[in-house]
Amino acid sequence: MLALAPPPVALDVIDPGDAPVPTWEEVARDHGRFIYTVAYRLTGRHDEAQDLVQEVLLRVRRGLETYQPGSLRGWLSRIATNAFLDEVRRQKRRPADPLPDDAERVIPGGLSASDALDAADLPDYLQAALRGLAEEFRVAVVLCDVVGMGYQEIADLVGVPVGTVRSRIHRGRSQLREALR
Amino acid sequence: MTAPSPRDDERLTAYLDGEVDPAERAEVEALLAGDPEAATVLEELGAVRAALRALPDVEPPAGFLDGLIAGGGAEPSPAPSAGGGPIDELAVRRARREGREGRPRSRSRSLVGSVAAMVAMAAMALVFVPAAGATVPPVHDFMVRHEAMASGGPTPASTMPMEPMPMDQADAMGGIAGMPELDGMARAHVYTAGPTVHVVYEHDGKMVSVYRQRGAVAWNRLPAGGTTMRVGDDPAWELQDGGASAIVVERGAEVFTVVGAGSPDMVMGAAEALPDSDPTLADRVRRVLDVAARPFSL
Repeated sequence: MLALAPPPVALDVIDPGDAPVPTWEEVARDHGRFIYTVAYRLTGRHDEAQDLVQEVLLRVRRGLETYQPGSLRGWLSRIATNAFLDEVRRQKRRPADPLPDDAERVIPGGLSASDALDAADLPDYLQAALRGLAEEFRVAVVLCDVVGMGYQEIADLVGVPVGTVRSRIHRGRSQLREALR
Repeated sequence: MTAPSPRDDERLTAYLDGEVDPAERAEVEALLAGDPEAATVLEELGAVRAALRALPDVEPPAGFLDGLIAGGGAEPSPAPSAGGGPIDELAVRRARREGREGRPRSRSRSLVGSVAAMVAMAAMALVFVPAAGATVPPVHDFMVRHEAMASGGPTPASTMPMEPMPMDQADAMGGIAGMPELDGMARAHVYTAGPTVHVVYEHDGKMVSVYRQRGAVAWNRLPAGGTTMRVGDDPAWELQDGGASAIVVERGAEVFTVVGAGSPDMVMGAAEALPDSDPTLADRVRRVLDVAARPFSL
């Protein structure tokens, strides 16, 4: 029978009746690494991840006044995803960049999937393949497999039907499967 | 055998994630039971899922978070060039990058791939395994069937019904392709039941049976009394029962059960003669992740 996995990152559920609203510094200090991990998995680049983390913390500062205690990491993931998608949309409005100045986007050249796996470079290879996914697939896969959200949570966050989430996760993982062959 | 439809594939992903209702779960399990290709797809999707979930946390660059905290998360000033806390720099950096005059692009790799990270990955990966589609060889059934054939008696009705296949037909259809060549023994009979193949080897009154199934072994569901072992690099399991012995070997995407009586060495010899197979994606991911001496869990 299927051994269902727990979420990879436990989304901390806080009893709304008891938990105080954290300060901005507490969020940055205690959850900065989590935000950075999500940002890096979404963007695939350290410089873009740093920009995204800054944007997220900026939005956190604005939003803490209205934050209702609950799943803090779920809330942070929502902010990170929205900030990422805002940036994607902003980039798409800009003129196309004809110069290939994004070496980290492609799967490492000269390294076959088999070599990568044999060389135990799977995390780097998988990250490169993840970055090769279309943004909507990447967001769905990251929220499911990095953040640990369920399909309904992802659907609510992204604003699409659950069936669409299911399809995106499947197509994303299937493309990763092909990349790893 | 046909490839799973796209809709089936999506259901396999949802099944892995526990995002199917009872009716859909039953449909998927029926599909898996009757379609080895679907089981392979499930296994590979499960390997990708396991690898994703085993990705380690990513460390921000040294001082990055401290710098942000020290900056206090102040709103950017209307004019980014006016300076301010680290967050103020965001628009400046973005503008520089878009203008191709910013700082050199980071080429740093994530701080992963260390031995510690891989051990952590393996520890996480151990719980992320799709056991659905796993194979539980009916070892006692196979032993009873072998014993009946060795003694010349009828195959008990309680055992898995299998159809005999003429040797020339088996050869022509590839039914025995991938089955081992055993020194001094000849293939005497071939039986099939769906994707399961049973080849009987004989010589001078000695008999060995090799059963081949598709999938990965559900090791924790094998009968009590056996012991885990390895045959070559492959995980295996051995059971001694009276004068008979059985060895289950998982090789690639196939499961072999070797059964014989009288000489455990003969059975081990047959197990060691099993042909190599090309590793599947799941095998290769398993080998990367499985660094913590837990041979039977992906």
